Amino acid sequence: MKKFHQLNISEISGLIESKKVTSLELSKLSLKRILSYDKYLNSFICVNEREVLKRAKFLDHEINDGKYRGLVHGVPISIKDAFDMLGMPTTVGSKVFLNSFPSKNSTVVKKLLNAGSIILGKNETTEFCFGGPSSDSAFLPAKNPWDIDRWTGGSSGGGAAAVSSQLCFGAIGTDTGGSVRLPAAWCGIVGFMPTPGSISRAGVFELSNSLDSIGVLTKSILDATILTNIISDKKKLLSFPKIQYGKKIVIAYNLFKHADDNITFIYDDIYFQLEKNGFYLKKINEFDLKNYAAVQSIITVSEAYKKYKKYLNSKMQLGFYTRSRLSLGAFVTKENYQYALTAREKCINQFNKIMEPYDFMILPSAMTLSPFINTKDPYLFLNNPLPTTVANVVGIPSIVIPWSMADGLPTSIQILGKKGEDQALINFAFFIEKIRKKWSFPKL
Amino acid sequence: MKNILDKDYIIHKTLEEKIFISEDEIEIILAGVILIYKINDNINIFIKDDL
Repeated sequence: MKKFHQLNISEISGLIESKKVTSLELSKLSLKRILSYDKYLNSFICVNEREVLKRAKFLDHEINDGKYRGLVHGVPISIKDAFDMLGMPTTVGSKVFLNSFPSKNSTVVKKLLNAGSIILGKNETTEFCFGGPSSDSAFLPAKNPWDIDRWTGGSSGGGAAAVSSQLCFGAIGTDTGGSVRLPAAWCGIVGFMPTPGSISRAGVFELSNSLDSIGVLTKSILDATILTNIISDKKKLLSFPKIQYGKKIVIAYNLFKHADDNITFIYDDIYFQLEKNGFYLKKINEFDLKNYAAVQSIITVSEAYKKYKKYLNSKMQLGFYTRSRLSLGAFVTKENYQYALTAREKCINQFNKIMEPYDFMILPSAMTLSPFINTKDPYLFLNNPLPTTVANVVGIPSIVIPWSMADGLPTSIQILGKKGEDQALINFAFFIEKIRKKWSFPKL
Repeated sequence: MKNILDKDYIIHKTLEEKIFISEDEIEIILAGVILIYKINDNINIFIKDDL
């Protein structure tokens, strides 16, 4: 029988509603697990134990009084240290903002609290949510629960580590080029970025106004649906996922082929499973990731530089990794930026043309398994284009689902949907989850 | 006139922009700027591709 922390939100919520477990018990369990394991993982930068326990008691009272708020009532979750929340600083991993206490909650936090969830604390992020890894942020970098010598991916790495190690039941992150989905891939959990613009960014740290988006980190597709519904602007963005056969899928075969062997091997497995189930499949060999990644890099570097240039004026402020990435913005001219915007339009048109006859695209989430945490390259993502950048550049929903294990680390696939067709994407991802081998999490 | 991409240009530009970098960091910034220039070149080729 599964222990409480091993359950999904969809499972634990039923137990809370039927009073088989209290919110207080779950909160104490999460806090105990954080105390025991987070010294090895660095997934949380702050936890407000007193507030958590006080809120858990309050939410239990509500249930006893017959007031059940819904699926996350009393469920302990966490948020990236990029969302404003009263009583906690929004540091975005930077010494610059160590004492930056917001005057109000971000919209996402408001929605989570109104829905009755318990926000345990804030998760580690690479400084300024900008690339990574960085060993000189205000806090130690989060470590991958599958192998603590490996990196989680960034920038929402703390949330991914916390969910993967089951310290909490779900987490919320931000995503400018894969910051939710890359950590999800490397930590073996679900990472979902709905169509950009579906979730309010009010009270959230801005890296790139053109590309920033919000996403969720969960243990299952159903949980991703639940959390997304709670924080989205639309009343009910998603309904319970249901499998729809006969969909048309294009697979970016050239990306699988040029990825590490462990990623390449996924292709045959996926193809076989989908073909067996009657999906129409088409593999393409010429999907040019380079242009999407280039557009993402120039827009992000340029917009981040414009906004945070002032912090580059003295040494004591930013860590070197962030300074070195942010400084590059000084070398991007207005003309370069305009060209990147033009190239973005061309990427969108090209992508839409490719996708016209299809419902979804399957591509790798990452070209490698999780790298070692001591990687020193400040330009890791400039040197290695990320397949996750496509969704941010085109403005479409994207989901990452763990698929198999290789050399003790999780592999995963990424699915891209069409703009505004989040439900169809979730339905298909739900099917992928069903045909995948039974998934488990690191034994902590 | 196109600037020559070397350490002197990095020093000049960072001074002009009031960006603090120490001497031993210049080479790392230069490596990043070379990357950014390459990416910009790729974008230029991409948008002019079918004109």
